[in-house]
Amino acid sequence: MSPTTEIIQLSLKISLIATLLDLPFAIACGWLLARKNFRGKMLFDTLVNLPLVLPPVVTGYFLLMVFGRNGFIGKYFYAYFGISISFTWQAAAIAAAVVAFPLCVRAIRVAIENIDPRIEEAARTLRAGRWFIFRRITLPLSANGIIAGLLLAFARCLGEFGATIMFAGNIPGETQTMPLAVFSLANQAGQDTKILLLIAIALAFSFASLAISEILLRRWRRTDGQANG
Amino acid sequence: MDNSFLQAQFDIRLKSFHLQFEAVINHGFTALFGPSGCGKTTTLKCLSGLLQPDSGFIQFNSTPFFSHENKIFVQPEKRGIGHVFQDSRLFPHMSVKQNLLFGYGLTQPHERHFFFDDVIALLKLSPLLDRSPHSLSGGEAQRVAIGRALLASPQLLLLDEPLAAIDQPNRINLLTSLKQIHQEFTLPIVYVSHDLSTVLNIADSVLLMRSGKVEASGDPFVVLKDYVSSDFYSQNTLQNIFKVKLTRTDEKAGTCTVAKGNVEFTLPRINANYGDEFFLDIPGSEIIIATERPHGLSARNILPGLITNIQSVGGKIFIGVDAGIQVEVEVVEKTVEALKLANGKQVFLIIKATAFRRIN
Repeated sequence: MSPTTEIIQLSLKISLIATLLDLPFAIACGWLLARKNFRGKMLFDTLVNLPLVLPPVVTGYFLLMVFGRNGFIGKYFYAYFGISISFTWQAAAIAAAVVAFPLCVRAIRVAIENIDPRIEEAARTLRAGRWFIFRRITLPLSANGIIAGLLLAFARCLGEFGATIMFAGNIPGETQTMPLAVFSLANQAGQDTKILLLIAIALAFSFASLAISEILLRRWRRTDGQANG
Repeated sequence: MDNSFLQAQFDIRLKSFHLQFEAVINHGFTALFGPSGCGKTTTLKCLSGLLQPDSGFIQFNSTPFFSHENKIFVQPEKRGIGHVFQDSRLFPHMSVKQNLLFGYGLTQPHERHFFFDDVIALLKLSPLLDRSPHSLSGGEAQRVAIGRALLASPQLLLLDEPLAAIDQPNRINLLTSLKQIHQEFTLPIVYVSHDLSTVLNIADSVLLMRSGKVEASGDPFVVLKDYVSSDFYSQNTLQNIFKVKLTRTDEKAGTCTVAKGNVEFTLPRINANYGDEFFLDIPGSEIIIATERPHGLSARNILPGLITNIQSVGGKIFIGVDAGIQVEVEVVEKTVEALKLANGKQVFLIIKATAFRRIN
């Protein structure tokens, strides 16, 4: 069992990296789902949202099947680079990223759906190409939604347990994040103070991210209302 | 000289609507006129590239913008066509100034022919520059939208009922600015409208659309007159609409004098100041035609003129008279025979002071 500060630092690092890992993919998926119609969109939408309802332990098991030392992709990694992803802090970040991904996509998708597409249309008649419009119109107008989505994802990453323990294990100092430490401590006698301390810290972080996310979403709804009014 | 610069013939099906557009658009101010739902907005979107037709072609000068046959579709941002929408569609996260400069920054320096200071002055935008789009009135927002489109230096400006959401005084101001833009910068404009007086006042030519087709095109007076008899326009008798300027008010007599070029009219006093410009309509049916200068008449306005054309439309006869301004007079068939009216004949138009209607 590592000291409390190390557990917290590790948790924050893994959650932060997981959230940043989600960011580009979540924006891409959010935009695709908000703006494009394509064959198999329903299936794609379902796949993106699957980690939301799947037991995290099952998600972790899938990750192991794909990225584990003998997984579809993992075995090539091991064969060519001698790297094993599973049971490392990187694996913990991937597990957290996958589980938190749908939350992030949802917030971004809603934010992009709320931008009037006619504004983007107008930009095209002002010599702006699609990529320019995406950067200068779509992204800034959905910024609040994107940040809210990231905070939501970050909060979810902090609490991630099931997928992490399957795919990254519970290695002190390497993959033992706050929830995993609480789980380990609960199996030992006389650790109640440490557990309560960890729980309090986890609560504080989660509460703060959720609160900021909610404030941003509200402010964004309000300004959006003005824009259309 | 061939004045045409845009040739288009295309088909597009949208849900239950089928547009079959075919027209040649000339340099100048072209009005797309017709009832709502006739395909005017869809036509503009096809021209600017926001919609891709199912078949046909769109040729801009010698450049094909769309050709179904040759599989050509030029993206809207590559067309250099400005498009102003009914709703101004300003970018809500940018200031007015940033909105105005959006397209300007994307225009190659050598392609720029509209510049910030000129456009600001023309559309009177300087007090608005630091404002946010949320805080603008409908008329202000529309002026910004027009300025924004101009600053992208378009080769053609499409205007989709840009005045629909604007109140009357602002509408006339903006209309005047548009005409000015068109004349000063020789910028071709295609203007969608379902307002007859706007079309007659401002357009050099008109494309009359109905149920997804161009029914007629050409000189606004000729085209729209031919449609007086058709069911949709039957409630609009042909109107003589002039933009006039108030030159004198006679408080004692309760009258005022307005001028259109060298022609003056006297009418009941109206609520306007010296130098104000506004539109007047004289219904063709309220003008009396005489072959000799009448005497002992109470009518205030007697204009000499020459007959330029006589047309029969849907059982009505219209006499076109050049009296310094072109006036259309509606008469019954008997009158033409009795007065031996013919092209080139000198006549006098008698207009009662109360026949004038101010268009608001």
